[in-house]
Amino acid sequence: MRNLLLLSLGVLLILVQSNLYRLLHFSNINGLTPSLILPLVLFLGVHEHSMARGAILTFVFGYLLDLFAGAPIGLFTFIYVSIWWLSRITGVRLTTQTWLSRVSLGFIFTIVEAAMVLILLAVFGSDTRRPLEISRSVLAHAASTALVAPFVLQLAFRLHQASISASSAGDGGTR
Amino acid sequence: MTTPLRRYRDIVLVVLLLAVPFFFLRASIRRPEEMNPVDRMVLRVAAPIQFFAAAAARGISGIIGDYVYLVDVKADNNKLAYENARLKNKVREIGQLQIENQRLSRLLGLREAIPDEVASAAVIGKNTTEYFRVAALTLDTVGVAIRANMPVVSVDGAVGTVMRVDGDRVDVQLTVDSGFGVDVIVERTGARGFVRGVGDPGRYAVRVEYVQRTDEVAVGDLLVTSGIGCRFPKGIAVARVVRVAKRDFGIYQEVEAEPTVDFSRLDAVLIVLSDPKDCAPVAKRRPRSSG
Repeated sequence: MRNLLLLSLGVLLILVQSNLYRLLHFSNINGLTPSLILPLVLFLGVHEHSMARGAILTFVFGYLLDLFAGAPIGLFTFIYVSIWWLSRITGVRLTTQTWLSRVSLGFIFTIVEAAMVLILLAVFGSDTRRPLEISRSVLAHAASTALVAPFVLQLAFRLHQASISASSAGDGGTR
Repeated sequence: MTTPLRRYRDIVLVVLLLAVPFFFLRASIRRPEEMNPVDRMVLRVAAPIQFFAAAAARGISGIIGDYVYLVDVKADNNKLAYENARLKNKVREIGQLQIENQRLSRLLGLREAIPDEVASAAVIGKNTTEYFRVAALTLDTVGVAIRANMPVVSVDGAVGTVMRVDGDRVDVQLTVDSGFGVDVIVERTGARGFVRGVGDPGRYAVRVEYVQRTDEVAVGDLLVTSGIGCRFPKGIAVARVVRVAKRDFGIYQEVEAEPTVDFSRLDAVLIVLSDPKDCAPVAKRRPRSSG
């Protein structure tokens, strides 16, 4: 149940994210489209107890984003699994409790994501112009992601609670 | 017992989930000449999966994208409709300007064709009472001395003569007024006549008097000013013949004509500032034989 809910939420966020640029076309600011899936990955890293579930869902989200974003296959898959693992081992559970901390978390991890993209493209790629373009849009991208992060985290938290309640009620009913 | 096993399983899983995309990325970004056998194998394995996954992603994204596009369609439609209306209005304005430009060009041509000085004026009203056929003008230029009986012309021909001046307002007696008269010749044959307004409130018409019975006049002939009387410059169109009635007896034939100027659409005219006193004496009418 929880797997399905989180997967559905992730797919929905990716679909919305991949079409958001059409609604934000009035703006001339590069990178204004937020990453909606990154806060969900952070949630999986911080709140999901099952390591296997968190890792596999993050892998799926990363792969789907690669597909929808037209990125080199494996780029976001690798980055998101890494971010999920990083958020898990750094123990940022406390920092997801308040809205301000959620905003900060979204901002910082977007910067981390951009840094990883830059590093990976620098290591494997031969396109020298792309890192320059990414560096120009990273602040706007981080800011917009930071703004949506509290909402996505709140939504994921509600789903999480709902799935726990549903499973508890199911267990109670069978007893 | 299960806890260490589960931990190892999770670690292996995470390492695998990091390693797989890493090698995929490595293989997909690298240049073909730099690929090693492992990269080629990864790509070969991934290609069919990637093909179907990408096709599915494109399909889903397309559906969502089309819906998102529809969100803007109404706003775009309204914007385009507004833009269309604005452009249509602009085209109308340009069309009117073009017509105005042509009319002014013709007026300018007329101005240059008239040897005397002229003053331009705009028609501000037409008084078509049963008794008087008068148009009211306002002068475009200030400080011009306008006097009664000065001829008024437009690009289509003679309009009338100045009847009354009151500041910038000038009343013009139209050629169709029963009190108006001007000496004319038939442009085609040179036959003489005298145009006089009929004052018919139902239509704009003039009568051509003193056209000798033997003179050749036909329907459609253009009547132009003869220059006699020094009021109108010579050669200004006055009317076009619409009816000719020849009798077997008498000296003159009966001719009716329609003014060349469409008074219902008249909007700009020129007042010829010539003084009849300065006019060179014109020979009297040459005697015409009746036979």
